[in-house]
Amino acid sequence: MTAVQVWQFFLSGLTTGGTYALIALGFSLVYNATGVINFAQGEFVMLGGMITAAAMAAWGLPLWLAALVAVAITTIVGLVLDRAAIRPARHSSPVVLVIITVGASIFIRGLASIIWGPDERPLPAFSGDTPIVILGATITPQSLWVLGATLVTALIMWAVFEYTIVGKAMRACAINPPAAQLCGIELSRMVSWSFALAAAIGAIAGIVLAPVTMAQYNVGAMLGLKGFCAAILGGLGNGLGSILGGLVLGVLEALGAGLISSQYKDAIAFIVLIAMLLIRPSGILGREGSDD
Amino acid sequence: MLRLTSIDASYGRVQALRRISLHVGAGEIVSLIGANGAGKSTTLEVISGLIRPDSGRIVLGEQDVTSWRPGRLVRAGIAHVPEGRQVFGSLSVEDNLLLGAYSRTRSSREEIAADLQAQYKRFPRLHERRRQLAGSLSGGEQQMLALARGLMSRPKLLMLDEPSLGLAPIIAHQVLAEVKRLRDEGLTVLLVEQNARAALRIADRGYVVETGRIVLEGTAQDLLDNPEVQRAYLGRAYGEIWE
Ligand SMILES: Nc1ncnc2c1ncn2[C@@H]1O[C@H](COP(=O)(O)OP(=O)(O)OP(=O)(O)O)[C@@H](O)[C@H]1O
Ligand SMILES: [Mg+2]
Repeated sequence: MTAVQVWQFFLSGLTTGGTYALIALGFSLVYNATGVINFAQGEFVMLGGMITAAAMAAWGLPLWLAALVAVAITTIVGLVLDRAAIRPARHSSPVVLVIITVGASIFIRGLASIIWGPDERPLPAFSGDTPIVILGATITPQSLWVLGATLVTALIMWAVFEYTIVGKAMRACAINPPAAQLCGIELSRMVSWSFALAAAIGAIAGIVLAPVTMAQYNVGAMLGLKGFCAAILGGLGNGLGSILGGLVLGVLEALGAGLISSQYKDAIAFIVLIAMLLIRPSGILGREGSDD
Repeated sequence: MLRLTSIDASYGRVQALRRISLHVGAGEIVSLIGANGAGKSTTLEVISGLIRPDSGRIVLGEQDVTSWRPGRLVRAGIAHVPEGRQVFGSLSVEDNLLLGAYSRTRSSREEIAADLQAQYKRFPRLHERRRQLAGSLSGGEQQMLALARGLMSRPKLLMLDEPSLGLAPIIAHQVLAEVKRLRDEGLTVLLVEQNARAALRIADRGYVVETGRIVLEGTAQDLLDNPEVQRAYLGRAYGEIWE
């Protein structure tokens, strides 16, 4: 194995890692607002890709408009999930809520297979397929789109939580819900916000990823699990940790697949997950016994 | 200003409050005293909407506010500074204060900025530390922050739960002196304290709570002079600190 090969694996790992990072961010958002791990997060990713592909094929929309429609519809799905499934059961234990999200993900997947059928749907690369050479390794323009989307989304999220009062209110809810209520912050509204944001981010991940992997009704489950591993790796509920966790996981996967065997690519995420839970359950950036 | 009539409240099967009735007049400091677990915090939590009463009525001004949600009660003018301060530790001091004004959707940015400056003037320490994380403040500073955060909602009624808890006597004294000043500026205060003597010193009236019931009420002076209260709540050890 040469240095260039490692560099190549590293670059392609960053690409998948970018998607994992966005999915992990969605997990963290909902977790902070509700204490619940939303296993329907992967379905938002699936919906992003599928709706974009369907809107382009069926309605002849240009890519950018189809993507916008996909983000909007997925966001609405996120809000409906909160209102229809989570909120009515909000006084139940977290385990019950987590199981509800698992049920919701199966429901969304089923619905998608009924609407769009079982076939893979291609989505054209956003700006061609001519590979770009960076220091001897090649990267597709679509990979740059994935990384760009990750970066921009992460920056927007950071700005929201650092500079807007709604973002700060969401953080306050995660830190101390009763005290947040005493400030007049409506917890249920913050939960809605978190589901909406998580869905939108998931959709974005799905849209930029679709040209790489194709869109299909059943891609959500595996992507969701990978994103969940990334979130645990970085520290569930930690935004920067989620991004790092995603990128690290993507790179580990690519290196593992290259160095050992591509058959084990998916196993690597779960080995990392189990190792992390054993060694450092709070994640790379999570503080031990932290309150937020 | 505030009247509770026959409030019952419970945590699951444990009944915490039994037929609590009390009132707070505009411009008064009313103190709630009692031992650990008597139900003082629960009383405040029922008033601020964190806990729904099983029965009874809460009237604020002319309005029946029983079972209102906390956010609506904040907008109606009730600020509850909870026990143990509960500042948002990983947010800055200034962000904590701005979140205190979260409910004021009708106030302009300028009004809120002016109130922020007013709080900084009241508590210069908070101004010095405005960019620091709230969790890095000392206990006394956190209490000031919790108080200032409550004031940022522009309340009519300020409810304080054990503001002197865990503070050095001199700091505790400053906090209670500030409470008195706030009353003199026109605020109405409902004050929960374990340190009964200190509370009754600044209060106009008081209620004694025991195992979820009000067992005694009267002017602060009457309670200070009451032999029962002296025996149960005004031990010499406390007294000496506060002489
Ligand atoms: N979260 C809870 N779950 C169950 N029981 C509770 C809870 N909080 C309080 N209680 C019970 O309700 C009763 C009243 O508690 P409360 O906190 O109101 O007392 P307090 O007068 O504020 O006491 P302290 O001086 O210790 O703050 C106590 O018997 C307590 O054990
Ligand atoms: Mg208490």
